[in-house]
Amino acid sequence: MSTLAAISALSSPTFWVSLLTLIGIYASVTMLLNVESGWGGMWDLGIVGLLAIGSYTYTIVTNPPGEFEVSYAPGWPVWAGILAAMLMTGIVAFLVGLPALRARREYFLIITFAFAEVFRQLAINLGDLTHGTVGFNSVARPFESFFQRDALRAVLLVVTWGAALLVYALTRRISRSGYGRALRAMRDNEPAALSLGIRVSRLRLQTFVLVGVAIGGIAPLYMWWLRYANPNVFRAQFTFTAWTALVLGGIASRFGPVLGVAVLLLFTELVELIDVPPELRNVHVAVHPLAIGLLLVLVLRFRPEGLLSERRTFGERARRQTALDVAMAAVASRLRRLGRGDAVRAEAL
Amino acid sequence: MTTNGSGALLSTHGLYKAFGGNVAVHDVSLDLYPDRITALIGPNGAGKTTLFNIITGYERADAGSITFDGQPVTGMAPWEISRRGVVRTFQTPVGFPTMTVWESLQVAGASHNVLTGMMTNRGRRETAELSERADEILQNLGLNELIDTPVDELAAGDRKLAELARQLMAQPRLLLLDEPAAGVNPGAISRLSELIRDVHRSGIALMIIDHNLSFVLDVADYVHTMANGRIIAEGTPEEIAANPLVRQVYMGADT
Repeated sequence: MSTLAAISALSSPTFWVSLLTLIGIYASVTMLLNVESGWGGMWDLGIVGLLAIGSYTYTIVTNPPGEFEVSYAPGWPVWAGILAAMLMTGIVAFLVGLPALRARREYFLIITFAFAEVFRQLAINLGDLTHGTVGFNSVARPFESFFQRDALRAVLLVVTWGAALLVYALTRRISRSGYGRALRAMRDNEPAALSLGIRVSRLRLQTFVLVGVAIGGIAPLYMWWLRYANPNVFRAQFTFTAWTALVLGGIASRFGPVLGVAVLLLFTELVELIDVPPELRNVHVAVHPLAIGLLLVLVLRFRPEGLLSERRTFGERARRQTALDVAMAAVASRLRRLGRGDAVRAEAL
Repeated sequence: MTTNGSGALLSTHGLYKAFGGNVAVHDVSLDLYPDRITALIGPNGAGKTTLFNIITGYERADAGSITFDGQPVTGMAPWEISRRGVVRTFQTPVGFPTMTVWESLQVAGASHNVLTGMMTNRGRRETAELSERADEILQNLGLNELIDTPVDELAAGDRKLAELARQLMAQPRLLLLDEPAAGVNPGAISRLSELIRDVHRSGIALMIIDHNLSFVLDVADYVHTMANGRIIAEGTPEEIAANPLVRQVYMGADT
C-alpha cells in the first residue's frame, strides 16, 4: 500500500463509517461477554456461536423468497427478523447452557468453544437451510428504499451506536443492581453466595440466556455491516478479538469493553495502513499480529487489570452513588429511633 | 437424648455421613434451642464442620433427617436452607475479595433474579433499606471505619467480623458460626464474645464451632462435645469442663 493509498483511506468517510460501525458492533458483543465472563465468571469462548445463530436466523427469515436455492425463505420484514434472531439465540443459549453450565471455568470454556464450532459445521452441512459453504451474498437491510448507499451506511452507523448505548445502559443497570452484585458474589465465592440464598445454578442459566437474547439482537447489525453470511465469518477469530479487547479494556470494569474494542480495532487498522516499501510487504503482514501482541503485553505490563478496572468501576464510587440513599435511610432511622426511645437502641443490631 | 422436644428450633435425627470408609458423622441427634447459645467442640477431625455442612446443605447425609422450625429440611440446597433462615459462616473467611466491605454487605437481601433484581423499582427501595441495615450492623460490630476497604485487604480478625456482618444481612433466624475465634488475636476474644452475645440477644439463635475451649466455655450456654463423629457429651459449660471423658479427648488430641 502506498502512502497515497493510506492517506486516502484515512481521509475517506466510508472508511471511518465502516470502522466505527464495526467498533460499535464489537463493543456491544464485548460488553455482553463482560456480563457473562467478567461479572458472572463464566468463561465463554463460544460467543461467536451465539452470534452465528442470530445472524443466520435473521438472514434466513428475511431473505426474499426465491433469491437463494434454499428450502425455507419466508421473506419476513426486518423487525420480525430481529425478533426471530433474539428468540432463537435465547432458545439455543438455554439449550447449550443446560449442560454446559454444569462445568466450571476451563471446562465451560472448552464446551462453549466446541458448541460454537458445532454450529459452524451445522451451517456448512445444513445446506438446504443455510446455502452451505457458499452462504448468502446479500442481506436484507432496513431503510434500503429511503437512502442512497453512503447515506444508508451512516444511518446504520447511528443505529449501531444506538444499540451499543442500549447495551451500555443495560450493563450499567446490572452493575448497580442486586442481580449484578449476586453475579460477582457467585464468581468470587460460590459457597458464600449460596449461604446468602443466591440460587447460583439458576442465576448462571438466566445470565447465559440474557446474554444470548441480547447477542441475537446485535447479530442483525453485524449482518447489515457485513452484507453476506457464510460459515467462514463465524470462526473463533471473532471470539478471540472480543476477549482480547475485554482483557485490554479491563475485564469486569463497566466501560472497559468499549474502550478496549476501540483501542484494539483502531490500532489494528492503523497497523494495517502503515506504509512500507513493496519489498517489505511480506514482513509487514507477518509482523502485524506481533504488533497487536506487543500492545497487549505493554498494556498488561503497566496496567495488569487492563486500561480500566473492576476496582475503579465499583469500590468507593459505588458507595458514593448510594450516598443519597444512605443519607435518607439515616434520617429515617433517626426519626424512628426518636419515636421508639433509647431503650430500643440498646437492643438494636 | 431428647429429640423433637418442644421449643427446639433445629433438630437433627440420626445423621450419618461417611467419606469412603471414613465415618465423619455417626448417628448424631441433637436439639438446638433458640434461648441459649449452643457450642459444638471436639478435636480436629471430630466431624464438627461436616455436621455444619450437612445442616446447611453443602453435604448430603447418608442417613438421618433434619427439621428446622418443625419443617423437614433434609437434603435441601444451601440457598434454599439459607432463605429459610439457617445461615452459616465459613472457617476461612475469604468473602468476596473484589468487593469492599460495604458492597459485600449489599449482596444479601437484594433481589438476585435477572428480572426482579434489575427491571423493577423494587431494587431501589431495597437499596435504601439495605443501606440502613448495613450501617446499623457495621456500627454494632465496630466496622464503620472499614466500610470502603476491599475485603481482601482486611486483617484476619476484621475479616471474621466482616463475614459475620455480611451473614447478618441475610437476616438469619439461626446462625452457625464456624470457628469465629480462629485467627482473632487473643486480646480481642473477649470483645468477640460480647458481640456474639449481642447477636444472640437480638433474637438470632446461635450455634458455634470452635477449638478455643476457654472462649467456648465463656460464651456458650450449652455445649455438645464430638469425637470421632459421635456426640460423646453434652451439658452446661461447667458440666463439660468437669467431664472426665471430654478432658481425656481434649488432652489426648489437642494441647
